[in-house]
Amino acid sequence: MATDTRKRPIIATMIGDPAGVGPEVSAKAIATGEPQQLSRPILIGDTRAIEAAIAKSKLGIAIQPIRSIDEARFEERTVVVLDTGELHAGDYQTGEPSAAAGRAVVRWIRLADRLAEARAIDGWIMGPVDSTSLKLAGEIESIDDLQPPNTWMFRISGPLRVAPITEHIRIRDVPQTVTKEAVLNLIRLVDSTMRRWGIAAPRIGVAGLNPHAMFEEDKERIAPAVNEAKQAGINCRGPISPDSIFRMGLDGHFDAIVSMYHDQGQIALKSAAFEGACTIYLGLHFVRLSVPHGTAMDIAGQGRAQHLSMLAAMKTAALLAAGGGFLKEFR
Amino acid sequence: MASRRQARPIVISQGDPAGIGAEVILKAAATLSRGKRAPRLVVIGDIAAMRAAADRIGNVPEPIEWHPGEAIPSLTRRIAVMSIGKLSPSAYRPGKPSVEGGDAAYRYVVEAARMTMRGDARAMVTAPISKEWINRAGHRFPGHSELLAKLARTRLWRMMFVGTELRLALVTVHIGLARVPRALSIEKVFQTIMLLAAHLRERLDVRRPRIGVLGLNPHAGENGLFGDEEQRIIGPAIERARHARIAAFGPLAPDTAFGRVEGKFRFDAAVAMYHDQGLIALKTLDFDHAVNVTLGLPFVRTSPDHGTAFDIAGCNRASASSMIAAIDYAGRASAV
Repeated sequence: MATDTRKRPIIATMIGDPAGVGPEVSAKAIATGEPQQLSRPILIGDTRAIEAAIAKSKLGIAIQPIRSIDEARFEERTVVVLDTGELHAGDYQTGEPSAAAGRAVVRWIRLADRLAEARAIDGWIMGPVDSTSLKLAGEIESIDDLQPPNTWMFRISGPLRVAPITEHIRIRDVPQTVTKEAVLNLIRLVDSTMRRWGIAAPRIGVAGLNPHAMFEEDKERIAPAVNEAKQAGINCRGPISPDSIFRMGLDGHFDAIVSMYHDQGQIALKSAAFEGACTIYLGLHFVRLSVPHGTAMDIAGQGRAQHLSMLAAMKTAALLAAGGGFLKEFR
Repeated sequence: MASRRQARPIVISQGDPAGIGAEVILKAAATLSRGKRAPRLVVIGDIAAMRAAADRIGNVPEPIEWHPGEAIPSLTRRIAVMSIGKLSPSAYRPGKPSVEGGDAAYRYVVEAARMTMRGDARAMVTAPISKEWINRAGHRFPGHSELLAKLARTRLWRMMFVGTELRLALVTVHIGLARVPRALSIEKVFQTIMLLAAHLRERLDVRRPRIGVLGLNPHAGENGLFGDEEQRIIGPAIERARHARIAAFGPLAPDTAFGRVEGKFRFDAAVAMYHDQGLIALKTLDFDHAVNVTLGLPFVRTSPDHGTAFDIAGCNRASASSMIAAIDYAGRASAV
């Protein structure tokens, strides 16, 4: 057991906005004891908020406060908390967005990224953040600013896993972003990242851009990219009709799907709506993942929040960081 | 009158004789014959081709030659086939489409439409054809809906898709994504909402249909942050529909629109701006039972949402579930 411990990846969870349900779902997930079987978990965030969540839901776990990662002892029934200490009592109210919480969240995000860059941790999870808090803090203009540069979103919902070329852009701007280079680049990134995650020869489906994948962009840009990827030894197929490919993904035909724009994959992901959906950023050397739900300010601090998404995120991050593939269970 | 309406059959055009049309019709008939109220069906096609398919499959109602005016047999043992011409055997060899077969498929559709327009049939269902082979046979044929609209002298029509739970109409259909934003107009979106609402009221007896209208852009543009079609086109079209006393609402964020509240959609039917926006949701939720309906025609027309599947024709592997759903929907929509 002791030797095992050292191999298990250190996965940090940034609790998200301390006024939302983030502290509660993080503490509840840790209290299940399941993340500890796969990883050495720590929480980053406001100690007071985590304490309150533990007390409210009578989780019966203790807190080990740390200043740096090497102080962490990972004992049973104990949650390791790294707090930067900038939030004081009264800086924010549970259930309400605030500039103070927004500023703290941005500091915690930067801290987590620094720790991961320095390989002090093997990956981290972003708990639910609040766009109003972040805007009040003047730190960001839109939630998109939180995405690290040169990364792509990889979304998971049950057996469906999708990486789109672009995120929040106008539909009229989409076709020009679908170039052979962009498609090939993303196929390669999905392939190499999934191999690192422990999927030996990932089966990648590539969506077309247009109905039935039978228009110019499909034939002259996507098809050549797929062919080049195949020649490079990547197990990929496409362009596949957008209205069939996600169904095929749900039926287990692919390990991942490269999609051409945001809504193409999102409509399928959200319609399928499995418990424990999450998003991972491609293009980083460490696992960085976020939970799909929001801060749910209306039920914050009441002990009523559901932690299954957070638990799935913690287990997924642990498995991927250790090269153990995806979580097999989903609902 | 009501009994006469009930007595009228649903006509089914056989589709391309080299495709899976005959197979899915016969399998659907076999399943429907075991149900409580088996519909009356007449296949418009070729008796020899239907018989050959029935022999291959086995355990399906026996195709018998039928002529207008004759009694329609009960589906339990037999299925009526009205032959239009007589195909040479090479034209119904599975998986081997031909000009002769393409020409026949076209004539089956035209005859089924005429019977329905005359009132001799209560609704029509079309089995899959091959556009390519109909065109090779010398007919101008962009698609079923276009042909039927022309025969019925209807200018305004839209495609609608129906799953077990989801119903949606499309503003644009088979155009590239690059052309979609320019193809949208207040008028087109408004017309789609109105045709869909009329269908729900008149054919499905939904008194006050709630119509959810999707946006075009991610998150419906987030107040103009990424795209203004919601503000310029879709919003005003919804307003117009509301002035016309239709309970339309939106523009909805396309990815969350199909989320359910307590197991139900927030609308009776949805309007999607482009093909994949609607069909990705439909096929994710409901891949096997989707039915295609043409809105705006003076009669009910449905079809299964698959193609001729020449590659598996004659292999007895085709699923009839979409054809069953298409016949079932045609019956329900023509009962009111």
